[in-house]
Amino acid sequence: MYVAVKGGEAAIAASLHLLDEVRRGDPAVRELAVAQIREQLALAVDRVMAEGSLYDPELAALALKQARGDAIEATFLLRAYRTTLPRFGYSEPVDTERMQVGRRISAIFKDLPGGQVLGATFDYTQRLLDFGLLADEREPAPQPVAAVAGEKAETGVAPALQQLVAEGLVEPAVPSAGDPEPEDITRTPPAYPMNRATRLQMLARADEGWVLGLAYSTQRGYANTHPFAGEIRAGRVPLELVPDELGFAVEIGEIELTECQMVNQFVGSAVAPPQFTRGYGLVFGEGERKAMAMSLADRVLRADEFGEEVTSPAQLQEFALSHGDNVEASGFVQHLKLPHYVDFEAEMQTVRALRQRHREAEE
Amino acid sequence: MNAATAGYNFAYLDERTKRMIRRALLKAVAVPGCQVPFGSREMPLAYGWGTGGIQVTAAVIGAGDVLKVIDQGSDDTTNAVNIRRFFARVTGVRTTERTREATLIQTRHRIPEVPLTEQQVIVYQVPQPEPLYKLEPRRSAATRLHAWREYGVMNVKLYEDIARWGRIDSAYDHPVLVNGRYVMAPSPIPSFDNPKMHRMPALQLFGAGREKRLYAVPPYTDVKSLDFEDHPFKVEPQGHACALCGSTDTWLDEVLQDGGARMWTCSDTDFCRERREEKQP
Amino acid sequence: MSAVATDIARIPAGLGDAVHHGQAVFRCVLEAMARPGRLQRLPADVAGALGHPPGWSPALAATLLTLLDAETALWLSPALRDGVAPAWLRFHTGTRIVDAPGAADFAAARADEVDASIWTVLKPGSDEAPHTGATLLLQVDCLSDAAGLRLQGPGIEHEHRLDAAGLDSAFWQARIAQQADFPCGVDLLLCCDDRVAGLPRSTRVTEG
Repeated sequence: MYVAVKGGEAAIAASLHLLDEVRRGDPAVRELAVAQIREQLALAVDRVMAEGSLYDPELAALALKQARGDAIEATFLLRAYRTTLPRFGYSEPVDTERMQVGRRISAIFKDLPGGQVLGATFDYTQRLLDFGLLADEREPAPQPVAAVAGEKAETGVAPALQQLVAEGLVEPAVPSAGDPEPEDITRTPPAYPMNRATRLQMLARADEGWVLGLAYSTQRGYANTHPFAGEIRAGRVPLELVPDELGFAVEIGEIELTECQMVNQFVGSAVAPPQFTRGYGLVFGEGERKAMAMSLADRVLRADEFGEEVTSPAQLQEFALSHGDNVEASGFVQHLKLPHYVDFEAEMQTVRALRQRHREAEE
Repeated sequence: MNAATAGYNFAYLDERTKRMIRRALLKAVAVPGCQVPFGSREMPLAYGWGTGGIQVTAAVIGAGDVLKVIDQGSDDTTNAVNIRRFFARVTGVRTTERTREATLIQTRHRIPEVPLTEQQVIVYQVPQPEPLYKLEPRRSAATRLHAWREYGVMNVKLYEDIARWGRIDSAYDHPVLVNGRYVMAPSPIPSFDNPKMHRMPALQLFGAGREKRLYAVPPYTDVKSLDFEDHPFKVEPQGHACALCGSTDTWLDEVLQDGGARMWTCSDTDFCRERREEKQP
Repeated sequence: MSAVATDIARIPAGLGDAVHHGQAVFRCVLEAMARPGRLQRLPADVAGALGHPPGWSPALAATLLTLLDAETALWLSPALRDGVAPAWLRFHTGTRIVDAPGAADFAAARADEVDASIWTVLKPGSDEAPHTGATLLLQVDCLSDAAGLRLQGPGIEHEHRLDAAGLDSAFWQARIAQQADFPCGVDLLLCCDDRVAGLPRSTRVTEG
């Protein structure tokens, strides 16, 4: 095989070598194991899985290690790997009612039917740096959760909104008309306007920071919403597949999900009575911030369904959705560091000519 | 192929993805200059760095091809080296720096100076396939403008350039009209290169990975740079000669030297080499 | 699946090498579309290793095997649908075979099975998405680029000629009428033995 080799190739090889070195850091410090990242930096792992659209904690942890902790680079690594994977089948839709909930809260019930489960949360930590964590090893291991809080994971907890749906106060969660098969956004190029199933896919793997910002903007008057956290639940759900040769569903494993049902007051329209409408968020792993932000963004993107006026960036499908993919965005922003000297020379020629014209006009 | 690529298919992409791209390419050829959406995949290269061009090349390339990759006209810029290295790894095809030897050329920002032939295919990396995007950022709306052949906004923009500056302010990526029907982004080549697209004997393919669009200009197709009768499109010479080969009719890079002196050299490094070799006795 | 499909042993082979032969066939078809009317011949090793149903030209068989998969819908004419061909295509490509030509992305027929109406029953695409227009593949008994139709337009330096046996003037007049709908339209591939010629919708046709 003949490959043209010149200076650029040597420079790239040297850079790759340096990258290995800086990734490792000070060799006197013990090397981080992928299992440690998976277990102890689990929220970073979850974010990479969510934005990488691939549920594999081991590989997400590996990607984080290889990417030196850069979540977007790790997401990119995971996506580039994902795209090479063959598809063996399509799972059945997951049923979050069957979730084994590790956390379940609602802001709209004084006494949540089925019970609140606080679970592990930063919410009440008071954010004091724990200098005890500076020590390499800590003894003893914390007590098991159940012994402390008297809480245990529950399965088959009915949705908190069920009762309100029955009364007609909250819109039911029903499939779109005709229950169409959702598009696969990793296979089908986007076409706007986009249906809700496709929008939710876009939001689920959009950059957390971008979705958070969009959601925040809706709370500050850029779009008109009155959201309440109807129910947030996180935990493990079974994943089922119907193999062709069997014809019935078999469980192939479990995945961890975070789901948010945000309810919003809606005054009604000519065809719909006043009721609470929903915004929905669902992400891989523990991703409460993302799930909540997603549910706010989802709700304002339903403007056409409810005949609401589109006045704000978060309501503009093309704007809100096509700029949220951080692998796309990161690549395109950073491509500006590639050589552009041919274009720049062409621009210089133009600017020089314009300056000449300007000078002549002044004289 | 080596151990690191042993698990990958020829040209990296799986066959189903290649088929999807191939079907899109055939439609793109049938409707010259029209942007065809395709299911662009994540590639092991950042978006904006040639993922569209790479996917098109991967769908087209065969074991008998001879591949040349250039960026800014040069085979030796890091991105060109990286893409050439990628294809050498995943296909094992012969690569070359010589334009005349290549059957397949992937390029960013330039068209080689040597006229391309019927035996060649050129693949352009495209960052922004929508020529109207600065005037109509909503792609859904821009698609309708193409459908209706409603290019008034583009004419207004060019006209305003002329009114304000006495010239059209697009030194690169100057929009073209293909086969009298579609306004098309030629990718950010300098306007100097635009005339080379007109009735080129080689097939021209364009890939925009991030924007998930590809398009094509078949051989011998009319490609007209947009202009006005009283302000015709023209290529303005840079007014310098290449310090290495003496060329005055090629696109030149301006090289700043220590002490503030300037030197001009051919951007197409292979063409420059060829011309220098011709001159030697 | 029909009873025919269950007898896998009777299904002919497909491409000799799905990766490399598929690529070579694609390049033939790409050249055919890019240079309308120019005959492109399948490489001998590709044609030699190819399996196909009886009565099918290697060019038609290879082109369908190369371009079809589960994401495509194919309509087959009665003659091509007869026998093992549908099972053969489903086995090798996973394509969906549809009954209505108007639902097809690809339509294949023998030249003697179509008339002018084929141009209007196939999907023409829309002005906003012209790429959704169908591709029609016709198997003809004789194909020549020495005389016949006069072709002009993209891909053609001056003028190409094309003569395909078994397609009458009414058929070509309907094709010519389609030109007014550009960018909508149906793209045509003519297959004869191991040769293929393209006639994309962009080509301006006049009868010679």
